[in-house]
Amino acid sequence: MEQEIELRVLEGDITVPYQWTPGKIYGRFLGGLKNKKILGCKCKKCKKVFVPPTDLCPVCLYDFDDADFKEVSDEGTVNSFTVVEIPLIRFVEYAINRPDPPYAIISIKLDGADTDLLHLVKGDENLKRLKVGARAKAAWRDDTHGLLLDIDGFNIV
Amino acid sequence: MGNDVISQVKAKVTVPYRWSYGSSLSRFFYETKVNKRLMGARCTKCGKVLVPAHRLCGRCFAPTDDNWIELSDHGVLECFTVVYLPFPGQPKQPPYAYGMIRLDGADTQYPHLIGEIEFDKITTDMRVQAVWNEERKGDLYDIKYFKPEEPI
Amino acid sequence: MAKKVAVVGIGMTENKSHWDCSMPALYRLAAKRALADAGITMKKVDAVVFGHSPEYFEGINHPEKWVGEACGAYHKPLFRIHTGGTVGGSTAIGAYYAVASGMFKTVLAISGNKLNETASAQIGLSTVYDPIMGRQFATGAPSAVAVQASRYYSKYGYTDEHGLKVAVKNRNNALNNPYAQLRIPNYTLEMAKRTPVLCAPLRLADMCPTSDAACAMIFSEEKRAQDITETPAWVKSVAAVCGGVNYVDRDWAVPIDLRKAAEIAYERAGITNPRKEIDVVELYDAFSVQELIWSEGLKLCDWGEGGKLIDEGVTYMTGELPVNPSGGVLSANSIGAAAMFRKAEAALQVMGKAGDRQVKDVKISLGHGWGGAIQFHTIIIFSKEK
Repeated sequence: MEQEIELRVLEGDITVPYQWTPGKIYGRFLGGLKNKKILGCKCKKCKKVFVPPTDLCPVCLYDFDDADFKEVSDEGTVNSFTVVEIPLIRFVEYAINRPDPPYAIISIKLDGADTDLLHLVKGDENLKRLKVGARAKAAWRDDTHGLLLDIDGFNIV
Repeated sequence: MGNDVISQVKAKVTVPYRWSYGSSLSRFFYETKVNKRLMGARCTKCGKVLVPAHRLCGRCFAPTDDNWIELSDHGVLECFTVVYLPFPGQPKQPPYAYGMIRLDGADTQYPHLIGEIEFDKITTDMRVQAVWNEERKGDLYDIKYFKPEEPI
Repeated sequence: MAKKVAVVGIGMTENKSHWDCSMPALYRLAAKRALADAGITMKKVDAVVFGHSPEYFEGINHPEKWVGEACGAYHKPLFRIHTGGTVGGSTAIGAYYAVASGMFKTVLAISGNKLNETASAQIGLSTVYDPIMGRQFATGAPSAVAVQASRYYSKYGYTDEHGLKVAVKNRNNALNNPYAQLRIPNYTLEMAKRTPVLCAPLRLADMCPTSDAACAMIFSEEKRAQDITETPAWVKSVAAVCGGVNYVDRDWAVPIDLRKAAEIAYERAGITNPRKEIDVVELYDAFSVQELIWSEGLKLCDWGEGGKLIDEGVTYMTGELPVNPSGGVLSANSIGAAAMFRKAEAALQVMGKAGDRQVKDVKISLGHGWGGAIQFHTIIIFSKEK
């Protein structure tokens, strides 16, 4: 009878620095955030406005370019949300990072847009008033970096 | 309308892991830690000796003999490299040498560092022997490195 | 019985740092060029097979979630394939299977990577190593191939000059390829020898560059292929082989897994003398020495004779069997697209559309890909004649 051997585990991590390329379309959307403006792209074929814009309208296969940009409102309607209560290990470090829980992840359709933007609602007062159909407006940070979290979160109006 | 275009978004991603040794490697590294022994296992079908010892032969899918074999900690350096190339987060700082060692009595190769020799003196097919660490934690570094075999 | 299949369109992006281009836009560029080459739209494409190598390169998991729509896959079947460096080859073969099975008439294969998104591709490549048995001193692909090179050179009495000669040959070929990244005029052996040793015995000159690129190929069944183009590249045979890691009696200099793939591909294509019957080869030379080792695996010469191919000038553009007219992986390596570039280049050669890198009178061509430690290999053999 061989002796009992303790089953072992090797603990470690993998750390990788990245420099992601948003490309000219998403890059211009991020540039808009830096100037506290929310930009979308309007498809020339189906006329839908994508916020945030990707490189193309996936349905029409229409490639967006500079002429398709359109500013939309920083206020809109919450279509869906979840309240995050569980803290997650911070596995990604940006120049600006997500808040500690509790906060809500919301799917919000901004006025003038045809797609939803994923963003945050935080603060007890806001969370109490958060519901599907609620109107919310962007709260901008004083310092902006060209990142999604240049919007600190959405306040329920 | 703002016309700024952000060309890069920088971030650092760190993911913590717990990699399981499994029963065979747990036992293999128990032996290196406690008994300073490198253990192999013989396939019950093809008769080849695998190191580190596994429960199954990867080629025959036959079980290996439960009675593991103690291998020599001497062997032949079959191939090697001297690493000068640096990169961020590299686990070991260059320059260093490592290679694949065919331990006496084994039919597979064992990877390890090569030490106590000038880099330009390392050759393929040279005889090497393990230099054991005094403090062992039950991992690859229970052996510090392999060095040129001392004349008997 | 497998249906007859041909490549009818090819789209390549340039291999470089695409700082102005997101990953979806990069794939999109390759897809659009392939569709334009075939003269069709996505309406005619029934499915998309999507290739991408380790996610650690871009730090974006499940990339097809993000990139699929840019490939035109909206509301079409999309399958993702991943076999490391040879993923582009496996992706092309996946598309071939989908058409040859009769399931789909036309399938888009597309594969790529943006290696410049990470601080160093060697971080991602080092995470490929076993964390318990060897990652402790891994230095990405260079150190693994350096181990292979030391074995190859010493086993057969070759020197690092043999590898460097391959590097010089392929870099000079790259001058004829507008999609290659390293295009260095008047590149000489003396210049290659002056580059620093990075993982002995390999020098900088022995190693591929770091590229962003995507490549796309459109596969069609017989009738539609003939409707689409007058110059289809007919698929004679494909082979994909998985080998083992640290297997019994492994010899890093003897690629038995590639030999197995070659035997399967040649048997299916009815090729008995590859050196004579194949007119041009594109193989996965991520490191110079690998062109010699893979040539042996591909039976272009006997075991141990790979060095002689370069010594005797066999594999030059002017030689009996040109290898890597495009400049190979040594001149452009995005990893994700690199093995598909080999297949696409081989297809272009039988189509007669390889531009300045065209080899004369190509009837049969071979495209190869390598991935994993030394164990994943893919081969496609193309023919001008149906």
